[in-house]
Parts: sequence; C-alpha cells; structure tokens
Amino acid sequence: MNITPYLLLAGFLFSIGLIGVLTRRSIILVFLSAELMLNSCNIVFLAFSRILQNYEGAIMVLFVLALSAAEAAVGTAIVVSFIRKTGSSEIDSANLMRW
Amino acid sequence: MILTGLFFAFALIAFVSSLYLVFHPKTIPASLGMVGSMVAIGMIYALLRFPFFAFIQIILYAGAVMVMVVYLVMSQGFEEIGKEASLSQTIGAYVISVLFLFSFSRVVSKSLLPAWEKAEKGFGSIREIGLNLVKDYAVPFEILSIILVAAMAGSVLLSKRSLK
Repeated sequence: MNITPYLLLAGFLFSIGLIGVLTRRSIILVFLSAELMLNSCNIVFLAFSRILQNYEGAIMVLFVLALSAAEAAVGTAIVVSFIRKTGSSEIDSANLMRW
Repeated sequence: MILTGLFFAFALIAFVSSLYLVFHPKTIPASLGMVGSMVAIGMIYALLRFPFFAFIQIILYAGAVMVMVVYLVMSQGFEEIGKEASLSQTIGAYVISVLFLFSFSRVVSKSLLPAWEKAEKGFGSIREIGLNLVKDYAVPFEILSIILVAAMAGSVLLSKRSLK
C-alpha cells in the first residue's frame, strides 16, 4: 500500500467540508465545516511528511493547528457579537457587504 | 495487514461522522459528528507515525472546540433548525465539490508516488519534531506566538464591546 488511500480520504473529507461550508445556514456549523477542510489538508501534509521521511509537513501541520486554535477563539468572539447585533445565528443575516 | 485494516476502519468512521456533521439539521448532534471525525482523523495521524499530532488533535477538537460550541449554543440560544440553502446554491455547491473531487482523484491516481518504506527509528517522535521546530523554524515559531497573543487580545476586545 502506498499513500494513495490517504490522499483520496483527504480529498473526500475536503469536498464534504466544502459542501458543508456552502450549504449550511447556521454560522457555527459553517465554521466547523471549515475546520474539517483544514484537517483534511493536514492529512495530506502528514502523509507526504511520512513518505519522504522529513519534518517539513509536520511543522506545517503544527502551525495549522495553532492557527486554527487562534481562529476558533476569534471566531467565537465574532459569532457572539454577531448574534448580539442581529439576534440571529443565520449566516444570511450577514448581508452588509452583499452584492 | 493490520495497519491497512485499521486505516480503512478509521477512514470509514471519519467519512460517516463528517457526513453527520454536514447533513444533520441540529447543531449539537452535528458538532458531535465533528468530534467523531476529528478523533478518527487523529487516529489516522497516529497511523502515519505522528502520535503527537493525534494527541493534540483530540485535545484541541474534542476538548476546546466542542466546549466552545456547547458554550455558544447554551449562552446564545440558537434556533436549532434554520432555513435550508436555496436550490441554486445547493446545486452549485455539489457541482463544485464533485468537480474538485474528480480532478483531485485523477491527479492522485495518475501521479507516481514513492513506495511505502519502513520509517527510521524515532521518526515522528516529539523529540524529533521539537528539535526541527527550534532548529529550522525558530522565527515562524516566534511569529506564531505573536499571532496567538493578538488573537487572545482581539477576542477579549470583540466580546467586550458590542458591535454598533
């Protein structure tokens, strides 16, 4: 077995997360689907890091995980103030800059 | 091959629970699906000889992000089932992701990937990752700490003042 099944799994998870980001209406579930997309990219990084036996992909995964933690903190604050302002958790309420 | 069997079991768990995340109408069960898929992805990291990332993944998602979601739902009183996406939006989303999956799997299956070799001893241990982090990536690591402090200060500021 080579790493092809790992890469295919990452592709499947990425496209499921993409469907989630584009079709869910609840703002928090859009955010969680984006996290799923980030993690499917991490699978690709780690698979290549394992097969080439170096650490560049692993370090990149460490940075992605730390940034997604920071993003979760800021995202929570934005969701809280968004709900406070509009009184709704629907993502369609965020239409200030809409065409 | 026990590793292959474990890989397909965890891949199935990740796949099914991410479908749960995307298609369950309620917020809390959908985020439980997220936790299941994150734990399975962490086990896949462990199968790729990176157990450190498996631990971090489980702590970060099953711990921090799940607590954050539960906190948000409980404190802000979400309406549980919202509107559906419009039909054109749904069709567009499916078309985009099927196109992505098709082209990605074409590229993966046509490319010549190196064969699976036995990992050298100690590959993927915390010691090796840490040595590489401070040896070659010291400056990005410090920049990352600045980003984390900025995110902390920003989230405190954002949740203190309500947006006018």
